[in-house]
Formats: sequence, structure tokens, C-alpha cells
Amino acid sequence: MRKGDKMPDIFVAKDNHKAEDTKQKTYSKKNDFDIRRPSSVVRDPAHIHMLASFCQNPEGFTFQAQRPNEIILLLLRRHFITNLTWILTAIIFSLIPIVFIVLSSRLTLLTVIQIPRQFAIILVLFYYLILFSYVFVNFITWFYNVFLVTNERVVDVDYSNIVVHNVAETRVRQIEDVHYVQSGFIRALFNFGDIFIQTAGAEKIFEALAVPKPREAASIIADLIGKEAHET
Amino acid sequence: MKLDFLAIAKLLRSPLFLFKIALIVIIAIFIIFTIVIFTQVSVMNKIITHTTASGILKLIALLNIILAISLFVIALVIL
Repeated sequence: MRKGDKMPDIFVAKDNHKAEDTKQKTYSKKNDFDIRRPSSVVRDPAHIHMLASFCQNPEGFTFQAQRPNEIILLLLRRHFITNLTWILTAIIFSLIPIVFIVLSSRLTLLTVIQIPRQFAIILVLFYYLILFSYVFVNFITWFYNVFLVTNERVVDVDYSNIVVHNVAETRVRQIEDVHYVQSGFIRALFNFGDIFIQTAGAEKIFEALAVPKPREAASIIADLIGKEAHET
Repeated sequence: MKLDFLAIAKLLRSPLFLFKIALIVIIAIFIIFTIVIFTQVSVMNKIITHTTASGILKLIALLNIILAISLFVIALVIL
């Protein structure tokens, strides 16, 4: 070794470790809530839009009584394919007046039914307005019927009818068991099923029906069991 | 001013007049239904809020009421 040479290896390495330690400490303070997220939760850009049925770490969503430190980890809705019935019904019903008008000009039988022109206009407009409301009510029923999993609790918003809604929630520490059921050809094909959460609270069983990726959702919820108890 | 009972009785026997009254009453009930939808959307927006969707849904519910009222007015005028 020459005279001017240093022995940097040990000392430089030690300095680097110190710098890394400091960085890690700062990171953990800043991202306290990120650390509390389960390791399986990864943000998937394709599933975070507002109409997503399976949405991990959804952006822009908040719910009533959400605490400042509370983060929505998972938002579940019925699979979009379950809306197919009312969508098809709406399409078929929207074509009925058009078919009727076309047929009435060709078939003499239908011309027997004669109503004044102004009545016909009002009836057709009213018919389409009812159809529009039908579509809208079905859409909001699907949109607001959500199942939320946060880092503190599970919130089940049941919006089963236009005049009936039921909001139930339970603390994560009260969850005792999570299981899912996926049965049937359509459910296997589109990968959706029912999740059941058994709790120790007043609402014994929480259900998330016909939600996409039930296995992943159940594992995310299962990861949370007992986690809050350790943190508090 | 005398009431022409005969004319009223004749009008009430007319199926079109009865149909008109029934239609207007049904549209009026429908307006109440659209108001209920709007109220429910407002309530649900308080329970779950999305930065974009909540406003759009409320706007559509309001549009539904406006369309229903417009139809009611048109029915009153042209029927």
C-alpha cells in the first residue's frame, strides 16, 4: 500500500449503511399506512376506474364515517356480467315501439287500433322515459351495492331496492372466518363468486355476492384477520 | 254561471278524455317516483362518494325529473 492511499472499504460501507438506515426510517414514517397494507394488494391500473367490480386501493372513493387514517384497500361490486339481464331487457324493450311502427305500416290488422297522433307521441315519450328510469335505477342499484374492505373494518352497503338500503360494518379484529363459494358454469367462466365473512359482531355473516376474483378477495380479507389487533 | 252537466257527462263518457286524465295522473305519479330516485341518489352519494361518478349520477337523476315534468307539461298542453 502506498503512502497516499486510503482504506475506504470498511468506512465507506459503514457510511452507506447509515445513509440507508436514515432513508428507511424516513420512509417508514412517511408511509406508515402503506406498510399496513397487505403484501398481496397491488394497484392494478386496469381495475381502478369508477365502474370496476374488483378494485384494489381505489382512487377517489370515500365513504361516510371514514376516519382520516382509514384507507380503502378493496372495493367489490357484483360482476358486470350480472347486469346482462336488465341490459338485454332494456335493449329489447327499446326496439318494441320501432317494430310496432314498422309493422303497423305493413299489416292492416294493426291499423284497426287507432289513437290520435298527440296521444301516440305522449305515449311513446312516456314509454322511453320509463325505460330510461328502469336503466338508471338498475345501474345505481349495481353501482351503490358495494363491499368495502379498509385497513380497519369491513363495510357492506346493500342497496337492494330504490327505497331500501342497509349499511353494515364490522371491525377487522371481529372477523373470525372468511370463505368463498364459486359454483356454476357461468361463474367459473367469468371468475366470480360469493364471499362470506363470519364475524363476532351483531351482524353474524357479511356477504359479498357475485363478486369477481373471489379467491383473491378472500385471501386479501384473510390477510387482515388479526392484523389490527397486533397494531393497536 | 251555470254548469253544463250534460256536457260534462258527455265528456266523461268519452274514452279518450278518460284516457287523457289517466295518462296525466300516471305521469304525475311518475314525477314523484323520479323525485324519490333523486333523493336516494343524494343519500347514497353521502354514504359512498366518488369524485366523478357522484356528480354525474346526481345530474342524471335531476335530468330524469326535468324530463318527467316536461312530459307532464306537454301532455297537459297537447292532449
